Amino acid sequence: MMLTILPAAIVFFLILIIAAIVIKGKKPVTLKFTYRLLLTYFIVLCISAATAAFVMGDSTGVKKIVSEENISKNVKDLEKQLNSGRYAEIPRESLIKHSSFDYHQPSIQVRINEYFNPRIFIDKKELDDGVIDVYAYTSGLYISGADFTNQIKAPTFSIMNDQLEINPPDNQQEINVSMIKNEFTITQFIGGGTTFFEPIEHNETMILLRIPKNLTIQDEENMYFLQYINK
Amino acid sequence: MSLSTVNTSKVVKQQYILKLKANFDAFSSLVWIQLLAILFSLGGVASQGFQSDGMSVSIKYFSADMVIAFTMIWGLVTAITITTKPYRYYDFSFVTNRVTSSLSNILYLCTASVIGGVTAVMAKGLLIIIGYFFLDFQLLDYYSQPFHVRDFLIGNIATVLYIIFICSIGYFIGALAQISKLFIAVIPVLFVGSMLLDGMMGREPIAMKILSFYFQESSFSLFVVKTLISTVLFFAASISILNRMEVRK
Repeated sequence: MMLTILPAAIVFFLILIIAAIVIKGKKPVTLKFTYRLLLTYFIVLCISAATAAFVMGDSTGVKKIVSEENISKNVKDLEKQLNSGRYAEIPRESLIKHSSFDYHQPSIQVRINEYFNPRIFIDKKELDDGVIDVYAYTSGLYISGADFTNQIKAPTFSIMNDQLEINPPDNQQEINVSMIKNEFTITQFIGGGTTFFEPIEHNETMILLRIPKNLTIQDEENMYFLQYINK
Repeated sequence: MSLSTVNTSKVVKQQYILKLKANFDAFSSLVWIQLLAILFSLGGVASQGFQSDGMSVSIKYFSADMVIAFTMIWGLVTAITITTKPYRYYDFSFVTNRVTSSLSNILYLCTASVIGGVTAVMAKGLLIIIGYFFLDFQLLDYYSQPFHVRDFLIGNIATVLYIIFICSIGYFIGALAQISKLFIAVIPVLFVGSMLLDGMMGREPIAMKILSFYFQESSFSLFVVKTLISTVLFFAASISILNRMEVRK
């Protein structure tokens, strides 16, 4: 809300300055006034600088930093583990949702929302237990290495009319981050000025469907996304 | 003929104190200019976005770059202003000559640059506080330490040096304008004209080469040497120009 009134505040501030100049005319600003103004400003800056150091610690609450090598390793590991069916090795924090559905039909169609682009792994169980297990895994969300994985919302799964629907989260998840950058008079000497933008690491959600042995998936449209697991 | 002997350093010191008091109102404009720059900076100096799988990430970047740039402009204007007639005529109320007048002006500009530079770098704190309490900034720390001691010191010294350097350019332009008002038009025409000419000829503009000589110097000690030598040269040239002028011209 404050962001919406900011332009109005800027305009108001400008009008205030112009009005002050017009009202004051060519009368010089007194030494006493300037001295008090400068002193007050300097005190405000000192207090702000001291307070800013405390404020920086508790905004996003993100405490974990992951290196770029570890991020890409995690993605590759997750892919390998899903491809080879070694689910037990997948770290618990990668699983963002698990749903089970009783389903006793011979076939099912998978429908994916057009705005959602997950990778889908299909694993046929050894039993025909009449249960479809759907798992959603994430390889994480990292902003400049800071781990925002816990802020990722899980997709939604539902079965209706012999169709398994996979949709993005009900409400669009918005993550807003503010980063304070060093000034050019600092980056010129300590570096960091050339890489102004921070890397955002996020890969597509991976969905694992564990289906009964005899269930077949009818999905001509989205075959490209389906990947059968070879154990 | 006066029987009392005049000590140059004493005269400069007295004139400096008097000029500091007389031109102290320049600091109220510094405060307003920096506050205005902080307001503009609250919108962010850059932003980055990402959207995927029902999620959107938005990053806004904040820094006091704009405050420093505005302060540099303030320094340039202040330096040009003190070479104008009303300010020079004010000198003749005291025992003075062109050199002592210029030296006290330079000392005043150095003081102004120190105050302007330090407050500009410290304005980052105010920017963070306003953003955090009023604009709901979600600050990502680790990379956003506002006042790392080393960075703070480097930032302050470099900013002050930049402003002093800009002031020396302003003082030089002001001195040239006292010789002939034609320089007021010639200097911007030369600057813009050379950029246009270099652009048409498909080569890097000389102005950009000059700027990169200072702004792309990554060694701090070399930067200090470059700016100090350039500043001294500009001030010396200005003193030399103003020294040749007749009294009350």
